[in-house]
Amino acid sequence: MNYIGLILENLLDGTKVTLTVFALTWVFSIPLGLVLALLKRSNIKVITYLLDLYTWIIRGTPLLLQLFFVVYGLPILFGEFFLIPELWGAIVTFIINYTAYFIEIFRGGMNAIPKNQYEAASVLSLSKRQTFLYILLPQTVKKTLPSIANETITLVKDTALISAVAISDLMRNTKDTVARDFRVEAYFVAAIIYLVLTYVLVYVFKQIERKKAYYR
Amino acid sequence: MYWFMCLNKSNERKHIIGNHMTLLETKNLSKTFGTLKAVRDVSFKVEDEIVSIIGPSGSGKSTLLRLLSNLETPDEGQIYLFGQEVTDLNSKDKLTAYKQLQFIFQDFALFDHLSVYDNITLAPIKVFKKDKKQVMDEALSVLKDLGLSDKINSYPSTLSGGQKQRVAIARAIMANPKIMLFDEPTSALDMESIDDLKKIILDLKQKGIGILVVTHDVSFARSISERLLFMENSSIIYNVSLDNITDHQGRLDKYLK
Repeated sequence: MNYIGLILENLLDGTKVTLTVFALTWVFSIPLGLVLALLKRSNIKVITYLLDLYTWIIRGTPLLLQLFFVVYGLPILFGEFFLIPELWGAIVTFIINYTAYFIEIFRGGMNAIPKNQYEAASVLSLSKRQTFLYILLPQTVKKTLPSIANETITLVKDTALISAVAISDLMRNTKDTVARDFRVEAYFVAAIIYLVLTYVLVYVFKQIERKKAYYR
Repeated sequence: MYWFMCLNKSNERKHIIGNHMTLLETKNLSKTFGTLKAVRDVSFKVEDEIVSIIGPSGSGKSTLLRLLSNLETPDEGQIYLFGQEVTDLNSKDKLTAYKQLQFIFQDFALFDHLSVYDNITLAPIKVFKKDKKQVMDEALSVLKDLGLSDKINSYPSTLSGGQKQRVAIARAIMANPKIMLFDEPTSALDMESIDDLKKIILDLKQKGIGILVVTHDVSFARSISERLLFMENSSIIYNVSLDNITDHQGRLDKYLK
């Protein structure tokens, strides 16, 4: 027990980094995904083509490869300007990656909204902005909530990948602790921390889903 | 600028003839989907009266109604709303021009995520920017008239077909329409609800709202309308007043099987 007390501080420091990457990715990729999903539905050929290309590349290649490319590849290709701290490179990569998934989730949700909802809004003279705000957005949120919950939990676990580019997150500190002390307790502590994080998120999303269950 | 104002004035004058006001008029309206000519060269008027369009399914009557409600754009011809030509307006001006035309969808198209109260007050508050207190008073009175007072906080998915339709009518009334269009209003109703609907429509007419109904239910159309339009193969083939319907009994019989 004493040993766990000794390693805990280091692991909690790593947890702070993990949570930073998680929170910044979530906060930026959700609105970006929403806006780009709207653009993708706009029928402007150039834009839909570019967005198709974007989601194709990002969803078709490993996140770890994208991470290596941004952190190590870009400075080799374009020089010092791209030599940014690994943590920022990682956050940017995660935002780019998760936005691609959120675009598809939101697009699917919007496509599932019946046409008559838009038509009723048009008959009531709602502008495009009002239709988005009062009709499209609330219905999309409700329809996509389970998928967003899934992605969010995956994101918590995916952050462990940043340990591969020498960032001292929870995973990296755990691995280093085990290597240094040749004892496995750190693995269990890390597992418990990840479980607590994902459990809290599952709980929060369940509450939101319950709140939104007032209509079918 | 001056010529433009003159033009507007003459337009305004044109739609008040005698005591009757032309709410809606089409001239040579046509719409094609691919190779299918859904509406062909349709011209007619609706004054402050109840008019029904009847005809077999596939005759183009629903498409015609969607053209009149700005849900489809015509390929040819003109639509005049309250004397103003609206066919060539940009989409923003169209929204304004169409504020006093309301359309009751066959499936009612209530907003699933909003309560009955929010469904009917969304447009008055957000679009017409009316005072919330005034909107509430209006909403309560409209819901009471339509027998929906106890459904004010219900969600659409918990309502029956007849109740949904009345909410859709309440939502339309809250927009202060001069004309209301109904697409197949009896299709989801039992006999009792059809009687209720007749009363509601006649009541709306009493309040000075013009009514245009598209239906395949000829007896319903006959029981409420002052004029019938017969549509077949994408065109209006007869336009008859109920006063001299006997002259057309033979033609009507064809539909009254």
